Amino acid sequence: MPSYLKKDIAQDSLLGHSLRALYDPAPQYREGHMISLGYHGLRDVRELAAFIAGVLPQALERFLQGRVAQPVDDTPPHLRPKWLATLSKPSDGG
Amino acid sequence: MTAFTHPDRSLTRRIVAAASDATAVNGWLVRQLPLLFQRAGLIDVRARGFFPLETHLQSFYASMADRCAEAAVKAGVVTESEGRAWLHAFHDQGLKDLSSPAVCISSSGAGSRFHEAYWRMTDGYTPAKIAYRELRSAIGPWAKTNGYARWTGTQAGWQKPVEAQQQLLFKFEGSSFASPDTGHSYHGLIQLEPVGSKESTILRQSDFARCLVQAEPR
Repeated sequence: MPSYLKKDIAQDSLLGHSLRALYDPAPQYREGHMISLGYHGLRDVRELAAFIAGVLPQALERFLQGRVAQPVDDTPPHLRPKWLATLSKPSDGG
Repeated sequence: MTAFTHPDRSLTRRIVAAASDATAVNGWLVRQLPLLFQRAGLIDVRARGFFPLETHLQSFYASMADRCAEAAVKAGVVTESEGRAWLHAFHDQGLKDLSSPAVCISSSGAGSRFHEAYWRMTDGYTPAKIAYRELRSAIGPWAKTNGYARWTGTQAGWQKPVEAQQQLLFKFEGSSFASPDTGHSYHGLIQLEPVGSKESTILRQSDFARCLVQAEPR
């Protein structure tokens, strides 16, 4: 984690929450989590492409069968932007 | 704005200026920000500039040469053949003269101070077009074998008809507010639509990550 973010990451704020999730050295994946498939160099890209290619057939099958995980949002309720609650929900893949 | 070393200074000036005007809503915004902040009532406004400097043709800012040339051609500042010749000379210089390779400097603020962390961030960065190529290479053979065709208009998307006159489509796109070419992460999208609807009607849609199964604990 860059040192200039130390203050921000400790804050009880949406930014702090997002930074703690972003720099968590051992993130715990739960079904329904939104995952950012991030990369930097060519090695990352190749590992990512191989991962996607490996899980893609099962993911497509799962989608076709309607067995899609419900979205999971770990944002503490007091930090959730109020305007988000007024938006309509996207179509459910399930 | 990105600056390039190039044997044709005059043409380079025209291309860089055209790209600066055409590829950003306001290419002067960064220079104007300190004054705008002060006028808005902010106090203690300070400005620092960061200049990443890259010397490899495959680097992120070197790849901006293609976009700058394209923007200059579209803006009518240079002809298509001038743009092509400029790019050719730029690449040729980078390939032949290893002692003085192509150098690209990008300014992102007023003043100048080389920032080591920024250097580390951009050095070795894989542009989105390379990342898309790797995705196509990894997924393409499987997709073809399983009856998928490329999803027109996407960099890494495929589609195939499934039951009940429906079409299954999936794609991976770079996440970037500025441009899909400069992203550093993907998200995947899977959707089902009637055959021939061409995205006008979407029956179901899901983020790729939501279709993944949680690994069993060992």
